Amino acid sequence: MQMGRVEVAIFGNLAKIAGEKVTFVEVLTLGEALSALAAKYGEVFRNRIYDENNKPRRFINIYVNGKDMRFLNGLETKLNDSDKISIVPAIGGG
Amino acid sequence: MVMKKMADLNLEKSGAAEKNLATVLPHSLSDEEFEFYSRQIVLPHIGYDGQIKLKHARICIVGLGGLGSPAALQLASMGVGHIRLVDHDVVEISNLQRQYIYSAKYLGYPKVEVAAKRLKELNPNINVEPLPLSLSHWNAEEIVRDMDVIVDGLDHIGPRRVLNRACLKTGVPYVYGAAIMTFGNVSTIIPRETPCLECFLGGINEDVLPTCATVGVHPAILNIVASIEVSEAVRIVLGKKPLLASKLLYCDISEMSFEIIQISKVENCPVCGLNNIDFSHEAENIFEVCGREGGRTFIVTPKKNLNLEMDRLVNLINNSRDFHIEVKANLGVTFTSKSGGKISILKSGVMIVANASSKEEVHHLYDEIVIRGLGSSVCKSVCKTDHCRIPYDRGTVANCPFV
Repeated sequence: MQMGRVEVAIFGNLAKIAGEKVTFVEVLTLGEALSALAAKYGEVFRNRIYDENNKPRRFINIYVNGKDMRFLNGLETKLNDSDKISIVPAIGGG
Repeated sequence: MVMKKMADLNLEKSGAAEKNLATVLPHSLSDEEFEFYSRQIVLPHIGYDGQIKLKHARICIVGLGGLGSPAALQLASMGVGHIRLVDHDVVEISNLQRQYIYSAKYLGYPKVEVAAKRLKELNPNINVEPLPLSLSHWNAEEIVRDMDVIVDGLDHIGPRRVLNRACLKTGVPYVYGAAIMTFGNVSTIIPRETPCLECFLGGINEDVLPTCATVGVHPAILNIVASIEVSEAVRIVLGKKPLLASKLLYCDISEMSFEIIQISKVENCPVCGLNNIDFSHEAENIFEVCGREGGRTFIVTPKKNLNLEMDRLVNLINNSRDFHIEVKANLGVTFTSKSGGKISILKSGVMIVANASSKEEVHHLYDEIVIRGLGSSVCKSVCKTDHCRIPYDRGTVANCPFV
């Protein structure tokens, strides 16, 4: 299977930690994309997106082409060229 | 153009707007109304016809905190004919930094009561319906059913999910808004057309989310989010396509960035999709909220509006040595207990207890004051039968199928 070049948009405090809002990764799955981002941006970013069980934290929404990963195949979601990932920290207050 | 419209109306100017309203045709504006709204009537996308639509609109604002209060002021001053206000809280000093609808002299008063008074003072041409309720699984559909659009003024994900489900069921558009620190979100949910809240926020665990009390919120972001919510709600009333349908606005005033994320409807969404799930098991009578002033705060929500007799409630509290009344309002009473707790009971039967030690303590308090204290009047308003089904002598409010 061929890896896809995927655009990743990062929002809120996560973008501040990453130091950029948009990047591109060449990966097969969503899980690989998150791992690539954690490797690229370092420990603080990794700890913000993964919990102690190495699962994405439940205050971060991850969308693939606008669909929540929960309704796709989670971290196993296959990615293709020109897919777009959005990583969005949830906002709960008001 | 404005003068021409005024001449077309051929209405005599009178003193009070309310007096003039009575003489105005249902599909026209009085001179006072015309002058009041003249700066928006000249806007091409509102115009005279748009103003009439606003006059006949019914908008519900759920939650009157940092988002709901500025939204309420704007919608009232824009001339939305009927505004329903829903909130279960009382005014606290920590609200005043961002909730300009209230002032220091109303500390301890039910927010809906103060807000309704302020909105009527601001614009006597509109109707304001204050509901001192806690939005819940049991009352959400009734609250939203006859509305044209719902504006989100809530501060937690949990009640937003309840609101989303009620709007989906009743087909009422829901403008979602949220804010924390310098960040804000807005999205407009049109039932069966756009993604619902569950599609794009359903996986969030409320317990791990920061709240305004813990990480703070900038008043400017609240006003921005509230204003965008108002803009979307008004577009819906005017019959125009909302600009944030199937889109999530993410803004951050620390960078002055406004970005839009495309979001998609999910076929297997448990609320709007094929895998429809019953969430009624999530409903709770007593739940803990973010502490008001450092202590634990609980809210008791009866399943139905108890419409308490406030005079009887006040007498009951006054006659107890354990309590001291601080505020006596039309729609609620706030008092302190000897143990240092601060308690508010609203006319609907909602009770808020700050500085409580446990859920059991709150249970006991509600039982003592509302169930046993007001006894038969509560039964009558809830059961509407002569056969009491509440096991007073054996249990507490938890045993009551109605309260």
